[in-house]
Amino acid sequence: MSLKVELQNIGGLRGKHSFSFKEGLNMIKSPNATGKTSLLNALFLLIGNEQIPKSELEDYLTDNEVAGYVQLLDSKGKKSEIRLTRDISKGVNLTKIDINPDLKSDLAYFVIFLRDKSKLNQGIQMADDIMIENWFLEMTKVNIFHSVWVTAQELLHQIEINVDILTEKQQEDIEPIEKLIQEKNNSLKDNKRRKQEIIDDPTNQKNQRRIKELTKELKDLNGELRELKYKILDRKDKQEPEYKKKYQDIKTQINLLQEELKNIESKREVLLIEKKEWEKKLISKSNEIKVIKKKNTEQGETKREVTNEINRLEKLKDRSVCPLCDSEINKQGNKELLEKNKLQLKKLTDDEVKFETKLKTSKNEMKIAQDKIKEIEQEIKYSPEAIEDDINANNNKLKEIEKLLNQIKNEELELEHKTNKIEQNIFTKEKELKNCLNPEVQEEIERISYVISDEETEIAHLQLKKTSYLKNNLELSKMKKRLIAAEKITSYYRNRVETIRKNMVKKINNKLEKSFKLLKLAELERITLDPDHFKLDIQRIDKTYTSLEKMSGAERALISLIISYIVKSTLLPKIPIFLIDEVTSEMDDTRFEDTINSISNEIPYLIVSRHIPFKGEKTIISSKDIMNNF
Amino acid sequence: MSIENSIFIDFEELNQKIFKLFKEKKKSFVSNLESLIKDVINNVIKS
Repeated sequence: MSLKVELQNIGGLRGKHSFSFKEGLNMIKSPNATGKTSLLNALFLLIGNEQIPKSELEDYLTDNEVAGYVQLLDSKGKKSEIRLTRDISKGVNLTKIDINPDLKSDLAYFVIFLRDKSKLNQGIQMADDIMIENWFLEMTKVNIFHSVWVTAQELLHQIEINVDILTEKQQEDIEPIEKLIQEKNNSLKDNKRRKQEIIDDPTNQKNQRRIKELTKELKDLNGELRELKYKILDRKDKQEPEYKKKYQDIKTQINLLQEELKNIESKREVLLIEKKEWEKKLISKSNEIKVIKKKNTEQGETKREVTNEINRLEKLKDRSVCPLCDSEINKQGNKELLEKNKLQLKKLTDDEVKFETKLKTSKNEMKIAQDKIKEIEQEIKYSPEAIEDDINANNNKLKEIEKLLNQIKNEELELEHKTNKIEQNIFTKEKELKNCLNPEVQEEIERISYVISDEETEIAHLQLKKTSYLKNNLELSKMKKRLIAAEKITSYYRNRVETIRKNMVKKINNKLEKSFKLLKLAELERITLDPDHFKLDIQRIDKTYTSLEKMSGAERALISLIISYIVKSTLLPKIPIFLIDEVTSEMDDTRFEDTINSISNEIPYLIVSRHIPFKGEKTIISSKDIMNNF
Repeated sequence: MSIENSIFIDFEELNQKIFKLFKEKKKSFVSNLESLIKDVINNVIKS
């Protein structure tokens, strides 16, 4: 089991080079600038190229070279190859020549590449929250749901803006009406108060006891009147339009069905005409066949006669005397006759072939006509009864709605009748009340009552106008529906992403808890990942808490390695190739070896590069430098 | 029934469409996704 790699002009590796990796741990040990990173880059180009932005491809091709390639032969003999080409205007391009689908699906997403030593040195941790979040996003499903969530959220914002604009516009339109209602209400209140003050003033009263009784009765009657008016409004403003809309919808439905019915019927007519034409054709073809057959039979008869004559003449051809009548034979005449008959036979045979062809064509045409007739009959069979049933059902619904509308109208009439009666009653009582007052104030009361009545009617009209305005603003109501739909979609996909992420974090934390050996190497009690903020909670062996920022370079490198490995190995079913480039150089040898050994047990190919001090002798990487189990 | 309850989105169907889109149009996935979601949102008005 091994991986064979051949490359040309990748990074620092100018020219052609070959390497092979054995299963298990592969250590690349060499001094600086010998091509360790270039080799790992070559592998990454092949198995993780989807993660490399086009702008970074320049770093992968050797300087001043126009082309390079990487080939990989896996343990099953399957080949993968990519090529890099430099174009003066377009920069470096990557072409996938041969990508083994197994390798792609198995390896491309499952590769860990701890290669950015500079970032580590700058104190930007490989295991920081952004990195971990990015790893989650690499997972296809999270990626898809995340894209849907982001897209839906953007649409939601656009719709929210539209709703705000429309609401503002509506508010601008309604505001003057509301202002007018407010003004009228204030004036109404003032007039009512003024009227009551006049009535309550004892100097204006003739009969105090009766005034008290009438005031109470009028209060009750006015309450009843308000209730009745509300009921009438409810019917006029709510129930009636609702049923009228339903009525209109069903009418539209019926019209559509009738249209469909008409279409079917007109189509039926066309089909019937078409059928008749095909039937005519069928009859004509059938007659044609009969004629052909008849002609063919006649020709057959003639052909037989001619053949017999030829036979007879053939027999007499060499004779000078007739064997039957002993008469002398005209040889020349016989010969001519024979030729003539032969020509006729040839013509008859040719005609026979022509008849056969004609017969075949006619039979085919007859078959087509029969099939067409069958087809049309099948189509005609589809009766418009189902549509008629639908129309009838809808007509019944219409009748029911008409009945309900009539009922509502009757109720309205009844309510109006009651209202009139109460109004009459109020009018009588107010008149009586007026008579209980001194004559000089009666006129004033009457005047105020008229003003109150006018104002009440005007307010009712304004309210109706406002309500219908609100209802008729279809555009806003449609936009609000869109808003709810966008909110539902956004919330659904946000929840999906969050759930998947939290499950992943849970799995990572479970695995972290079980990784005693690795944690012990880092002298840690535990590491947990906070599911909400993707932050690491780190506890040292002495139970004190710390953060990555406070740790030494070697400790950070070790934790980065542990976290990277745990995260990927938890989220992915297997990691076939794990590339580690130099990040471990700050660790001491023992700790490094222990960590690498610990990880290598679970990975088929662990390829690690490690810098060794330059001792005056330059080592160039070749397969010899790749040591199995250092 | 409130407007909120009257709006129904078949997420099972939508997910199937999204995965199909992802498989078939990987490169233009995001722009196609936007059209798909717009359609779903606008269909709410028609239904």
